[in-house]
Amino acid sequence: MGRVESRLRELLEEVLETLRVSPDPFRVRVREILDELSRLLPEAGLEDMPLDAEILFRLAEVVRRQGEWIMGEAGAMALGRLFALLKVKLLNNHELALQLLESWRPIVELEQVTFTEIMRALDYLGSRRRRALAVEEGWELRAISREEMAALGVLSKRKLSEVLDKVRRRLLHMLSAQDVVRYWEAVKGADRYETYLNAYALSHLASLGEFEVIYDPLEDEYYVTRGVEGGEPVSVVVPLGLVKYDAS
Amino acid sequence: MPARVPSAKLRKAARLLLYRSRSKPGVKGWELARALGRDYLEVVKALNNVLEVLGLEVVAVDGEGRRLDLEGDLRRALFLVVLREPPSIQEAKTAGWRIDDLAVLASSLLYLMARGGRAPRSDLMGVLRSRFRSPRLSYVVERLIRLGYLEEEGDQVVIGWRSRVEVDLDRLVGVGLTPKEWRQSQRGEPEASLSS
Repeated sequence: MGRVESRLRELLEEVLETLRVSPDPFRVRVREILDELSRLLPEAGLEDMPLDAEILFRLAEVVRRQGEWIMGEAGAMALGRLFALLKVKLLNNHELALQLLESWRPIVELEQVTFTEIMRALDYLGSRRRRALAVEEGWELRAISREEMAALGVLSKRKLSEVLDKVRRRLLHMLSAQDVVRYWEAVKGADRYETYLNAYALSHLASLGEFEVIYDPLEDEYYVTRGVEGGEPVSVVVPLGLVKYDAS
Repeated sequence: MPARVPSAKLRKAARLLLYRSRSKPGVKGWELARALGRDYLEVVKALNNVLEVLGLEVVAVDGEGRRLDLEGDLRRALFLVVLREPPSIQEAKTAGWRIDDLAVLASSLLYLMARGGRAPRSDLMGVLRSRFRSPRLSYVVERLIRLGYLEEEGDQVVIGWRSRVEVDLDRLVGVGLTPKEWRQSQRGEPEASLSS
């Protein structure tokens, strides 16, 4: 047996063995084997040609299977994406939750307080404003004034009735020109604290029935309008986490 | 069959794996090896036998959240305890999940899967707003990001590490069939097992 014939038989054996061991057509070294065949061809005799043709036939078969695999994979991927979008569009909340639960195996863990968390808590408590007046001689038991309580942050310096009047006047003025005003325009203050205070005052006025807070789910927007006499009272939750319209 | 493991090592492994020691759950393989010794994988396998009774399982995942076989060098892998079977809807509620929040998570994952795993935050929020009218929506999405189910990369939202670990995304997307099962059924391969 010549050197070329021997090598050709080895290559054919490699192709057949690779396909036998694994159905994955990408495991066959198609490019390398073709390169080697082209190098062997000038040295090959007429008697080697059937072997060469057999290898080429097997490689053509491998390439065809690679093409099929790619088309199948792309089809499955596109179908998966279509399924995903259809599910988002068509399933209701309960069905979506069930779909998730069927494929969900949540992590299990035990919560506990760590040393780091204890240190963080101590830092937080240490940095808080102290609820006591510093007295040089030591501790003293006595009544403190409103001003001192305001200085300690226990009482606000602002009078709630004044805030209520201010918000009421401002809203009535705004509603004299239009039927509804945006919630954030209604409560907007000079700083974040004043905005929160205005929002608190407005919630009190709405509870008294003087104004009404309406939520528009389409625009995800809150509005304020005049209260309706005899209207059905409803509770409205207005998230104040992101106050983006205040002056600060 | 796992090797016989001293019960003290099992208890130690259970404490390491179940108690949360940092913000992200799980223990690295090298941490287990340091605490349990060179045969830490045998200890984990033995612990798995004990946890099976409780419906729990120790799994190892790589950096991408892919499950790894409990073989070979897993010092860089992350070890976690997960439920062996999916929770019921009642169990999810007991654990503090609302149906609406689960639906938001499912929709987010499905939409991101359809977009190849990532999408601009504005696009995702647009899709979610068209489905969920709740004023809690932004809060829920922020919570999912905080818990690791979704991740932010600049203005993009991507599927979070926790979703990759906990959720069988192929199963979530497929209509009863995973893409692999679907492909097998298309080819008529006999080993195709059609799950419900």
